[in-house]
Amino acid sequence: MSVRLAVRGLSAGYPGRDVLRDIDLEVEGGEILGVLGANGSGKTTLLRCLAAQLAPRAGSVTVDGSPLRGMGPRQLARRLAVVPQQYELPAGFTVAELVEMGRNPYLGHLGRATAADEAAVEGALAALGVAALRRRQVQELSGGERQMTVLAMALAQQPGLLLLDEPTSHLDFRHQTRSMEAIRDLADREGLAVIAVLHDLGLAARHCDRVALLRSGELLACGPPEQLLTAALLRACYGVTPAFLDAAVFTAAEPGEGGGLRVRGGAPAAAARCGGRPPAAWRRPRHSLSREDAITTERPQVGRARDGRGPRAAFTDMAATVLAGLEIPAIDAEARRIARRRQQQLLKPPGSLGRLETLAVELAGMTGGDLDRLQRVAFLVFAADHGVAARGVSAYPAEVTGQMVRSFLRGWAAISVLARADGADLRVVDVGIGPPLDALLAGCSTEMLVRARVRSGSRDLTREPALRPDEVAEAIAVGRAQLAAAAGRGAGIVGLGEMGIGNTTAAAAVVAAILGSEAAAVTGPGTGIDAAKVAAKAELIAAALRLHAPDPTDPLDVLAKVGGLEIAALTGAILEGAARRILIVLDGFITAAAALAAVALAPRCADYLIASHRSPEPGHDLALARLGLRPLLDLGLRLGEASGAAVAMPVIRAAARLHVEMATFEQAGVSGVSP
Amino acid sequence: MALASVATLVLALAVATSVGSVSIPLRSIQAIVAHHLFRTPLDGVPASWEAIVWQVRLPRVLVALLVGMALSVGGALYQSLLRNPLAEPFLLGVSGGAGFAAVLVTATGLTALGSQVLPLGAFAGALAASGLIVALSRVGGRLPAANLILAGVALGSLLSALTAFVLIRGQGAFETSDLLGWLMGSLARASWPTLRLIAPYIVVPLAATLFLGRAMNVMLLGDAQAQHLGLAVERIKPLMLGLAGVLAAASVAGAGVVGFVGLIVPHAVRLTLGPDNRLLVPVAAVAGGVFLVACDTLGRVVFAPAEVPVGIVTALFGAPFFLWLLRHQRGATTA
Repeated sequence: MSVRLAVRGLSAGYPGRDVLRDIDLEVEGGEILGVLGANGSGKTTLLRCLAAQLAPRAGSVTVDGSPLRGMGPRQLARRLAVVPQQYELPAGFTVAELVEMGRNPYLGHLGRATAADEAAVEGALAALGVAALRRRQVQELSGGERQMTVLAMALAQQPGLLLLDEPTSHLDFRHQTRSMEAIRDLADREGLAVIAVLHDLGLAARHCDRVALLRSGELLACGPPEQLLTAALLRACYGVTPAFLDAAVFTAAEPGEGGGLRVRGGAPAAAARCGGRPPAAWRRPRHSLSREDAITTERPQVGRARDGRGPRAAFTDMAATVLAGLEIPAIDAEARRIARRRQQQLLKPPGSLGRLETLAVELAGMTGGDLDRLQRVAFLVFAADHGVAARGVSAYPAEVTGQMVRSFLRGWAAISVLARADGADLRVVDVGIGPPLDALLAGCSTEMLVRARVRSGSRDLTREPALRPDEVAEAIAVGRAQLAAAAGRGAGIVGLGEMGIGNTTAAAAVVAAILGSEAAAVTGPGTGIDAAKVAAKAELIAAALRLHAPDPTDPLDVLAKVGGLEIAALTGAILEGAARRILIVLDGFITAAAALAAVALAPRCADYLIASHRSPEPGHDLALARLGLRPLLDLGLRLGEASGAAVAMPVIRAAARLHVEMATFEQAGVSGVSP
Repeated sequence: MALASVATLVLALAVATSVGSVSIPLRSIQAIVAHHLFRTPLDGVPASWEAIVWQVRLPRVLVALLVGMALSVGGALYQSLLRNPLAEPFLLGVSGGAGFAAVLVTATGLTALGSQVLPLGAFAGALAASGLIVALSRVGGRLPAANLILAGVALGSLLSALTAFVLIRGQGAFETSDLLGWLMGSLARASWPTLRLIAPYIVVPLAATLFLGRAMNVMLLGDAQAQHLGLAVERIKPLMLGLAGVLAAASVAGAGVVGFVGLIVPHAVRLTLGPDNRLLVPVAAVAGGVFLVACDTLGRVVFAPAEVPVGIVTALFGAPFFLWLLRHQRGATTA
């Protein structure tokens, strides 16, 4: 039932004014095509032609081979739904009543809804997470809720094709991400083809399979965002050089960000990372600019002060050192597409495996299609102490860090049990446990222990910077080296975890600094302290942030001032994993803090992250939202040690196995969906 | 719901027929109606009662009912068509056209030809004015709501000015008191011929509108979005305009320019039951009919034997009631 929209030689305009000239486009089910271009470049006119609201002067628009212009309005509305840029929602109607209006093309004259109509309405409400709002009246909705309602109305049409005109322009970051994720899910699960006019390049990069760049009514280029969103091409399209691209090339792997774009590092290493496949998908050779042009014309400027809006990493010499030799490949869009198609052919109703389907598609993109690698699992647990533990921020004394490491090695702790059950390779890395371990470990096998102490515990961040910049760099290097070693032992997927009494305090400080949020919003009970102690902990964190004023755009500065050794090591492990296309399964809050730092250093590494579970720590949701990740499980785990990552690992492997080993309808000789 | 509506309707009709300068018991009314419908004997009912009920009150009450229904459903149609809370049946030049035509037929003495000349002229004038406004608002095959409203207001002003001009110039030359009452909205002239004249033009559009509830809802989203939802907007819009125009013209022919009902009754129903037109249209029809019957009865009774034109009563009693409802409703939702 996958649809296919084809545009051939389309020219259109208004009396006395040509707008579009000779446009060729194709979109098929499961795909999101972003339409980009300056104001007046013809984006809305294109959309109006696709919605059969404007008759083309020349050329054709066909859906599954039948021309759009020949269809009656009801027939058209069953195939194609439109979410306009501006819409009126009449007051007094409830959300459910409005969404039911989406059933208009199916209802009779008296407008009585059948069971099928009600099911479609319920499905649409659920898909966009607005089912709880069903009885609310329009005038009581927030902007985001209104937008979700309008999207639900379009979904209730059960169209094969969804046309969106700047669907997120009125939304805050949270709703932008939510609605684009909902659209992505629908494309993946229901095989919906989506065409979205977007102004936000970051959203286009993150959520579109392909983008079409329009300039003065002509199609400048059409292809995967990671190939097209280059400084040179964007300048050709918009006529100005985007300020955020002055340092290097925009990356497709930009994590969900409130409209701002991330800069790729200005360090020498950045140039090497920009290399990639030649731009094969460009339609008009006379415009074709090579990727090398994009790089050489945009001279990297190291440590340049930022002037754009939104957080961006300020790159320093230190960043250059930390990132040396690191090249993070783009997600394999082709493998994703192939995987998405395969998911629709497998022996099951499309979408019936829920998130396992979307997960498998993501895994295919990350691994380049080689899902078998995911059956080789490793766990890395980084352990270090924190001077701040002396301030009563934890339910346990600092010496527990070392004692727990002993339990890991003896096979008694949660992660030991889970890793054993998984047949996984577990390593515990001492990045800086306070008291020397040797006395503690007498008579205990140290085969799984890695000694890589940077210093004896991080300093008390409430009084002084936790680490010196060189200590941060060293800890990151430890993380990178340990991940590289795990890769050397054959791991295709690595679960990350930590052990360190007092480290939720440091992690909360890191998250608050990078997200710019209040300390109280990201502070939680950690190992289990009561409400009064949580409040005191939040106050300590707030005071530390005021004292050190870490630069939110410089993750290394944040890690040094309010971070910790094991957090920096985790950051290094994430960076190295992404560069090696090794999937990183984050555990809980502390690993998420490390991931925020890693993504700020190298945005593309966000594409290789999987969030295993949702921690009860309040800052975890915020951090995951910034990372653009949705946790797989919500079990209330708050142990750490990579235990959450280990619990999620069988789910991930199941998704991979199902994708690889299930038969297709054709192979099994089973009839597919009746047309 | 439907049962309650029918019961209210029958009760309102019965009470309205019963009260007046002479109070007539319901049992006698029943006997008189049965006599005329089924030829049953009319035992013990005074002949004067028979004449009052059958010749005077019943046709008047039925005309009031139909006009009230036509006005409130016409108002609902315009409100969803134009997406404007101030839309009402006389917005698109209907009152101006009807008024001007009525003044013309009176001034030229044509009214002497028969009692139905005035309503017929008003009906024709109303339709002509609406048609002209629709034609003037048309831009490239589309009918933008703003154009309709502006053209309606402009042509309406022109026609009112012409009406006033003719009235002032003709003072003394022809009988204007009848005309003035009619311009304010009055059911004093209502009779069986009036009912026969207007009934088809009200019953048929009302029945048709019952099937348009879904389309009226979708139209509230705006033309473009309604089209995206599979509504043939450029066919539905002229249909809705035509139905609303005929309803308004027929109501003007029946009772003159009765303001307020078409504006307020749909809003009152919306405030109590919500905006879904699939429910709103039938309920507003019943409510409008009952409201106008009640107002006309009050107008007959309160200053009896003198009559207050129904248009004055609707505003006098309807406005405070509506304002109360508005306050009440607002308090309830923001609490």
